[in-house]
Amino acid sequence: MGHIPFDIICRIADGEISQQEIELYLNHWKSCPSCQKETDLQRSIMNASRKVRLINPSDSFTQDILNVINPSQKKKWSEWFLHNLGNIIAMALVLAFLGYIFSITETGNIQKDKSSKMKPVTEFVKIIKVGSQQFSSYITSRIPIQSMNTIKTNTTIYAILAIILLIFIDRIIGYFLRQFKLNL
Amino acid sequence: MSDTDKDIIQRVLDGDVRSYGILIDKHKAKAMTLAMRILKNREDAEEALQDAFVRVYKALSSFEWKSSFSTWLYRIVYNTCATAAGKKDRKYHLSIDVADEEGQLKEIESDDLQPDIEIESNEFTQIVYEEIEKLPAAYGSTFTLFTIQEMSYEEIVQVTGLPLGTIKARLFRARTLLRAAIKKRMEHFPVIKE
Repeated sequence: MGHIPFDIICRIADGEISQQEIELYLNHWKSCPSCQKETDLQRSIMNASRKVRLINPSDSFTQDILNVINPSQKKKWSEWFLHNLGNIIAMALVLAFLGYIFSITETGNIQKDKSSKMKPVTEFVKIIKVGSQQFSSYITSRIPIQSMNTIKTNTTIYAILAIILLIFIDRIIGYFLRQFKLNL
Repeated sequence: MSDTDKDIIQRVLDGDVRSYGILIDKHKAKAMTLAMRILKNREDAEEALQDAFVRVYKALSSFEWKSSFSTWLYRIVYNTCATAAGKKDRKYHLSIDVADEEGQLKEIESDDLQPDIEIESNEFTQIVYEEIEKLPAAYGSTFTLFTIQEMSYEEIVQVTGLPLGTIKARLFRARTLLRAAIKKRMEHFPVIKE
């Protein structure tokens, strides 16, 4: 008889050998050091396998799952607010700016009854208005836009500038929020 | 005295969602080990495992205790990881049995004597661990369920949905591959004196 087949060795090592197999292989096993060592090796491999270190997930694993299955309403609102803070500030600034610009472009004049406190602001707006008009003239001279009056052309340019400004402010604020890693 | 799975699940079903965290902590290590055997990548394994635990939570009320909670949990983990593995790379698809280079080791070679070494040492355990990591996903996952999760053949059938013959064949191949790999490394293993 040759050596005991490996699958039988495994069953011997696991203690799952049948009575029939015991009768068939016991005599050989008792007299064969090689088969005995093979059985010992299998037992040791299985014992060692049960002792191998488990792999743990990250520290925040459990909390992350709980956040998914049970997000608190309060946390959800504040989280939304902070996440979109850049957008909110940018939109507020741009809308305020646009509103002021539109009021000026509609009337064609800066209101004469502005208080002295608003003078720096109006002066700033003047600069923006003149600059925008010059930019607008430059664009329209390069790209012929027919049947479009000056106010509408200016409005289009302002809208494009507003969108660019909105994106820029959003990115800047988002960057600083991430840098300071605001946790909720 | 620690709570049983049944006690914790009952609390969760009664509305104590935070208790689900206790259940997760109890099973996450073994579940993560299984996920790693299948997906071989920590990020993918953790993502799939998170997905599995969320699915378990949503299905908790329909769990009928026909098997142990751990068997049911590992079934969901296994299926979730298998889906992720199939999407990621066909090589890791668990239904494909990798042809092992060692072939079917039915008889021990007559000159295949083991060196006299201490095979219960930490170094031996480390070697076994490293070689288990290298097993193909199909064999490594089945072997892990058998050893780490200490499941019977019938429980592994419930978890994987594979026939008993396939489970036994995969375990056999896993042990054959492990034996060959460990024997190769043990040829260079120093004799350890107690």
